[in-house]
Amino acid sequence: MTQAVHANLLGCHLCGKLSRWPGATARCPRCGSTLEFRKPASIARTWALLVAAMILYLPANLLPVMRTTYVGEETADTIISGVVYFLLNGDWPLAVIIFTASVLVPLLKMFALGFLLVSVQRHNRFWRRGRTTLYRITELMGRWSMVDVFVIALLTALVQAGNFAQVVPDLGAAAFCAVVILTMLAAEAFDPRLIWDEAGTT
Amino acid sequence: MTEPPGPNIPTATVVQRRRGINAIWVVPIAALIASAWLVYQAVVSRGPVITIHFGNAEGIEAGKTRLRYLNVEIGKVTAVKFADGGTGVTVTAEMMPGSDSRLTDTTRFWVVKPRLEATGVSGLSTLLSGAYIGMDPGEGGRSRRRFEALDEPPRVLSHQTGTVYRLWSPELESLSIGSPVYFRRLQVGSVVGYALSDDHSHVEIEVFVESPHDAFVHQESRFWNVSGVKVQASSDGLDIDVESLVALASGGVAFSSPQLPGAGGKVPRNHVFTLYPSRRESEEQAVIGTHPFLVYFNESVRGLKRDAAVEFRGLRVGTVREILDAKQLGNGEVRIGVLLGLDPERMPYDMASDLPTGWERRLQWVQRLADSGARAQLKAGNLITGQKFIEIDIVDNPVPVQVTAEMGYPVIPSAGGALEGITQSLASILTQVEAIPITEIGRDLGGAARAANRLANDENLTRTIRNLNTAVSELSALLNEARPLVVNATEASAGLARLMDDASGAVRQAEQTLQAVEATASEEGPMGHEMLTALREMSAAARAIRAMAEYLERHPEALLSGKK
Repeated sequence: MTQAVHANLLGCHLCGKLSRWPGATARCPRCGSTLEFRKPASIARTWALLVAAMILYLPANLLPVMRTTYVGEETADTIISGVVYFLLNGDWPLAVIIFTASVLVPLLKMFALGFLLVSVQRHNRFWRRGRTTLYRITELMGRWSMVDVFVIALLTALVQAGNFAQVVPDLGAAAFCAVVILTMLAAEAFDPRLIWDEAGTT
Repeated sequence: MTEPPGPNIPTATVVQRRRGINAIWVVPIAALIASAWLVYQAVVSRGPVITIHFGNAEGIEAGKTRLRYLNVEIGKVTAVKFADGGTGVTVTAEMMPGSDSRLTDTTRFWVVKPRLEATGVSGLSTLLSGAYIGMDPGEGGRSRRRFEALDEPPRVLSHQTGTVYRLWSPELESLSIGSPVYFRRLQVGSVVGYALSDDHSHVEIEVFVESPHDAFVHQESRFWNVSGVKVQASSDGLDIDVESLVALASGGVAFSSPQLPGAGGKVPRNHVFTLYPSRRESEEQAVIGTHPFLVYFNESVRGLKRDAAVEFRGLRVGTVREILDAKQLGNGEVRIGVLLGLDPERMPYDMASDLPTGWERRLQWVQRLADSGARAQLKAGNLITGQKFIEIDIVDNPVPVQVTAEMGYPVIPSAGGALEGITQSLASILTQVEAIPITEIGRDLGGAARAANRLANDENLTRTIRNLNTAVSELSALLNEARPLVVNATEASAGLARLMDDASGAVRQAEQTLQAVEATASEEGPMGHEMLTALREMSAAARAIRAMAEYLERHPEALLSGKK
C-alpha cells in the first residue's frame, strides 16, 4: 500500500488540492492553508489533552455538580450521589442513563484514547481496523457526555424561586464540562492515519 | 500501486515555522492547577469536623440540618449515629473553615425548634426551614472537637453582656427558666437556671440581668417574687396587683435598689441575694433564714424555741429552725445542737465566692465569720418568761477555731457562759419571792374575816340591833315631840359624820388591803371569794355598830337600864 507521504505528495485538508511536498513546512498553493502529511504533534497534543481530562475527571466526580435549595433545605449532589438517588428511588433507567453518559462514557473515551496512543507509539500492528472503528466511535460519542451539563444548565435556568426552590451549578459541573471538552479535543487532535502508518507497503 | 506523480502537481509553498516546545502542554498544567485548586477548596479548606452528643435526634437530619451561630450558618450535619456504648445519638458535623477558634470547652450546642413557652414563642422560623443546631462559642477555653448538647437553649448567650446573680429562696415558687426579671416594671433580664441546693435546704435561682441594667444592682438591692396576682382588701377597696401578664403566666422576679447614701457598691457576679416572697416582705426585709447552720451549746437551752430570733448586734439575721437532741461527746461533755436558718447577706461578711458548691461556700463564710471573732451566744430575751434568743456578735479574746461541718451543716462556733450569771441571780430572786408566806397571810386574813363573821352572826347582837330598830322608831317620834333637842341632835350628827368619815376611811383602807391581797392571791380563787364575802359582812357589822353607837350616845342610860 502506497501512501501519499511516500510519494512526497500532500493533500490539502480544506480544498483537497494535491501538491508536491517542498521539503519544508508548506502552504496550499490554491487556498493558502497549511499543508501537513499528518496532524502536527498529534500524539503529544492528544496526550496533553488526555492527561488534562484525566486530571479534571477526579474533581468532576468528587465535587458536587449541583446545589439544590428546596424549601430552605440545601443539598449538594455529585454525579454519583445523583445516580444513587435515582437508583434508590426506583428510577433505575434514569440512573443507568446518567451513569452511562456521565461516568462510563468519559472514562471509556479516555481509556480508548490512551489505548490508541499507546498502541501507535509502540508501533503495534494488530487489529488496525478495529482500532480505527474504536476511534470513530470515540469521536462520535464525545458530545453526548454533555447531557449532564445540559440538564444542569436547564435546571439552573428553570428553577429559580429564591429560597423556595433553586438550583445552582457547582464547581464539579465546570470540571465535568472541562473533561468532556478536553476529551473531545483530544479525540480531534489524534490522527487516526497514524494507526496505518506502520502498515508499510502492502 | 505506485503512481508516478504527474507533472501537473504543483509544489507547495514553503513557509518558515518556529519550532519549540509544544504549547499544548499548557492545557494539562492548567488542568492540574485547576484540579489542585478545586481539591484545595474541597478538602484542605474544609472546616473542622466535630461530634455532638444529643439525647435524641429529634429534628436532626444528616446532610440537611445546619449549625448556626447568630443565625449565620457555621456548619452542617453530615452523619447521625447512635452513641457508642451509651444512650443518645452522636451527631457529626462539618464546620465552616475558620471556625476552629470558636470550638472550645465553653462552646454550647442545642437544637433550635419551635418552642411554645409561657414567656413567648421562639424558633418559629424553623417551622419552614426545619430545626437547626444553635451554637454559642463562649469565651476562652481549650480547643476541642467533642461536645455535649444542651437539652434547652441557653438563656444567656456569650455575646449578651450582663451579670448573673444568685437568689436564694426556700421554694421555687412558680418561677421557671425564662421567667422575666423586672426593674421598675421594665424587663431587664430573665431567670436562667435553678437548682436545689446540695443539702436541699433551699433553691438557688440564677438570674441574668442584662447590661446596662446590671449596674443598678448593688449591695442593698432586694429581690422579690412577682408571680401571680396579689389581691389586698382594705378600707380603700380591693387592690389587685399584677406585675405583667407574662409574670402571671410564667412567674417573675423583680428587684429594687434603694438609693441610700453609701449604697451602690457594685456586687460581683454570682452574688447571693435573698428572694423575698413579696414586695412588702422585701421592704420590711423579712427574715427568711435561707441558709442552714449548726451551733452547739454546752449550757441549757431552756427558753429557746423554734422560730426564736437569731440576731447580729440586735439586728435580726435569722431564725432558729430546730433544736436537736443532746449528744454526749467522747470526753463526756454534753452539748445540744441548734439548727439555724440565717440570711448571710444581712451579716457584714461577704459570701461571694468562686467555690463550686454551696456547701463549700457556706463553710468558707463561717470561717470568715469565726476569724473575725464572731461567736454565737444564748441570750435572754425576757427575764420573766425566760425566753431566749441567739446572738451572734464579736466577743473579746476569741479562741481561734477551725470551722468544721457536721451532718452537712457548717458549725458556727459558740461562746457560752454569758447567760449563766444572769440566770443565777434571776433564780435567787425567784427563790426570795417564793419565800414570801403568801399562803399564811391569806390564812390569817381568812381567820380575821371569820371572826368578824362570828361577831355579826351573834344572837345578842342581832337582838340588840332589833332593839335598836325599835328604839330608832321611838326616837323619831320623840324627835318630833322634842324640837329643842334638834340643835343638840345637829351637833351630834356632825360628830357622827366625822365618825362616819373615819369609818369609811378605814373601810377604804381595808378595801385597798383586800385588793392587794386579792391581787397577790388571785390565783387562789375560793379564798378571794371568801374574803369578799367576809368584807361584805364586815361592812354590815360596821353599819350595826354605827347604829348602836348612835343609840348609846343619845341614851347612855341604856347601858345600865337596858333598852326601853
